[in-house]
Amino acid sequence: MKINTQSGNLSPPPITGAARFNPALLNLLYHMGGDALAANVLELFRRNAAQQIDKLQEGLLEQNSDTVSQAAHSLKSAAANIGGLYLAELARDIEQAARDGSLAFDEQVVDSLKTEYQQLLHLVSKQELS
Amino acid sequence: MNEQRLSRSLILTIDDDDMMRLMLHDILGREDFDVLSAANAHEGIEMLKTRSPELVLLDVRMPEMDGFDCLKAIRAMPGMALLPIVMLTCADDIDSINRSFQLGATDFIAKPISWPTLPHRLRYLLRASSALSWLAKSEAALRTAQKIAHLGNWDWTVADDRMQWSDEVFNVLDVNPDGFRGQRLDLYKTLTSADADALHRAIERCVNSKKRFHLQFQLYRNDSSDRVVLIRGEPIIVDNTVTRIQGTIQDITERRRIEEQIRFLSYYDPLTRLPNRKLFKESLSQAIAGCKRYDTELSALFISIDRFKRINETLGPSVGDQILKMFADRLVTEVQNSDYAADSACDKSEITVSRLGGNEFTVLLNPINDTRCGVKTTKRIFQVMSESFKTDEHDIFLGINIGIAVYPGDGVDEDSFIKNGEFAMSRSREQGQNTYQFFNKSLNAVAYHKLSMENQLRRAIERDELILYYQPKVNMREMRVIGCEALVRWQHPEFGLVPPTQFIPIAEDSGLIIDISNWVLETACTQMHLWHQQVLPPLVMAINVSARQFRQHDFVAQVNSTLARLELAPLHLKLELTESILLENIEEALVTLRELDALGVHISIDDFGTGYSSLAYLKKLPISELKIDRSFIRDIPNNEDDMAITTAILALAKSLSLEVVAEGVEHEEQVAFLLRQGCETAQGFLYSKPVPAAEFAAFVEQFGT
Repeated sequence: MKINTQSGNLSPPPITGAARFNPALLNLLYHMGGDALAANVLELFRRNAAQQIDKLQEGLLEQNSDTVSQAAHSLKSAAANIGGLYLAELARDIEQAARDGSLAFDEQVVDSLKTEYQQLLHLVSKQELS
Repeated sequence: MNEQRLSRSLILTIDDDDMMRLMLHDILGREDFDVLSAANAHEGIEMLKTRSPELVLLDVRMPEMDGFDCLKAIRAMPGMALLPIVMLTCADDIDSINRSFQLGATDFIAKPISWPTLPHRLRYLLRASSALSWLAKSEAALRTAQKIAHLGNWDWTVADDRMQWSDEVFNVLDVNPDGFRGQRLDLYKTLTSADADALHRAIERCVNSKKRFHLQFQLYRNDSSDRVVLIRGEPIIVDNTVTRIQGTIQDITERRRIEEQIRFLSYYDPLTRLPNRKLFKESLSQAIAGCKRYDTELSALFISIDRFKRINETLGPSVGDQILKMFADRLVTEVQNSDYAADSACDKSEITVSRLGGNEFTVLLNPINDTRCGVKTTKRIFQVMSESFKTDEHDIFLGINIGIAVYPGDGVDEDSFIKNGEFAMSRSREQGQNTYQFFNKSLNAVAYHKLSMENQLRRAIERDELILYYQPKVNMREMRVIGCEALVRWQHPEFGLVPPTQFIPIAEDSGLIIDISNWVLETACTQMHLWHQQVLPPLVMAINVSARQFRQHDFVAQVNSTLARLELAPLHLKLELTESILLENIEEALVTLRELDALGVHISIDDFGTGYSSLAYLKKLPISELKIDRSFIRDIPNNEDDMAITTAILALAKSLSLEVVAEGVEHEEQVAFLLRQGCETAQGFLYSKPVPAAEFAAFVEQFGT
């Protein structure tokens, strides 16, 4: 991964489950809106996140910062909405980099996003089962 | 159902994030909100135009038009200035938060949203917003109300002497608000210094006494539309101390005008604009109180127009009203007549004319010196009302009746007094038109006697009952008659010869004195003419001139024409005047005297020494003779003072080259004294009393022979 962060090009620390996903938000949605709301929100998340990652990838290929920044922002919001802290953080960093012009258009970024997306879905479904 | 819908608030969410829209819609929809969702700014603005959400949730970061531009666009729409708009943004996006508030955002909510608190947060915002808009409405309503009522309010703080005003204060005071800097002085400057002093004192008093105050001022405007302003102040007391005064300033011009109108309508007769029965009663009540306090008397005349109903019935009420109006005007003019006011019996009276209703009027005379005052006024009223009332088509003569009541005597209070006055008025009606009655019958007898004498005196002239007697004026040294004084007598068919002291006052009261005086002038001159034809020696005829006769504008012309008609030389006529006639209006008298002097008629001052002799004027007046009053002659030679006065008058006359006649000479001692002092002319019983013409002619022929 070659992502510019404020702390420089250091390898990220190992990610724990708690740092990756905060189940409190989804619990609240269950609590306030019942199964239907949580299910609908998650469904939207799955679709939106996948779409935005594809869009982000396109942006990288075309080296279009605006497309990258917008897709990253939407992905960040989508992840944040369900408590996907690490995915949101990754998306935020990309958005920030695309905005201030420090983004290296490296498609590896997309891989890490996709990986994290899958990880998050896994955690969420575990949460759903519990 | 309806109620439920009414209590739900409509929220518009504008966010490009469909997850966010879904969650907002679902979660808020479970609470008491209805949610409209827009996926972008344009859609949101369109929804605002057709629906009326009570609150907008607006995402900051959106593609195409972002939240800031959307916020600006909404605030620029009409009626959206106070719509609560809440921005949705990341908590750490400080720049966005600041920018939102600068552009007019109401509040912001950080993402991720704290769902449990969101509904509470929105409800609070809605309450605050509705309170604000209620406040704005209320302020607008208050401003309008203040404008309608012409009422502004002010608030003054004692501790720092700061004063605040509502806008309407400036309108009421008609001043430019720029001059108001928040001090009492600003307000004072708009008032006259006297009013400002009064207000300052009232405020200080309010602080000390803790009592409310109110003051009225007149505001003088250049365009002459003066205003009346009422200032009220109410102390605000904290811990037994006045900390503030809250007050109002109100333009009450219109209210005052209406109050005046109400007062006029309740106290005045709109037709004649005279006081009505109610005001008459109040005036009378005050007048009676005054009589009790100062031990004085008053009198009221109760006047009714005879058969007035018939005028209304036959000529119509509009003619009736016209006549009532003329009657009222004539009545007011007559009683305000300056001659009347100068009358000694009533000179201190205040005179009020009122209309008691229908055909009834009153004249209140307060105070009076003499009950004759009422009778004199009554007679003048009869006189002026005997002339016709000319309307457009008719010439109408009115008969009136007058009842006279006097306080104290005719009633204990105003009610009984009015009752008795009206009773006298109705009794007068029984006596026939143009009569009057006192409520007190004994006063009727006195008045009746005078009235009857007056009527008889009037007839006396027509019936030749007046005759002239002549008292010789003699030269005591030469013992010859040089002239005579003509004196009027009334040969009454029943009472015989009535002395002048009894009928001259009645003649003066009634105005008959003019007719009598003219008759005397004419008769005396005619007699003189006859004597000349009888070849009597040349004599001078002296006649007395009354005040009223002397003041008649054509008096000199009348004297002139009488002399010319009888071919009598003016030097044969001498006019005797009292000092008081001359001194009452010295300038006017001087004009008349000079005209008479130019004619060649001699003037004599009668009863000299009894009035307030003004020696200064004596020198200016074209007179030829002084007559020493009989009171100075009577006790000669026993009274040294009288002798001294007589001597002094003679010395004065000599220095002014005036002739002197001594009146009332009855003894030889008086003759001796007068001759010694250089006075040669006298009249008196020693020589002859006043005698008829024939006897006088005989006296002239035999005297001194």
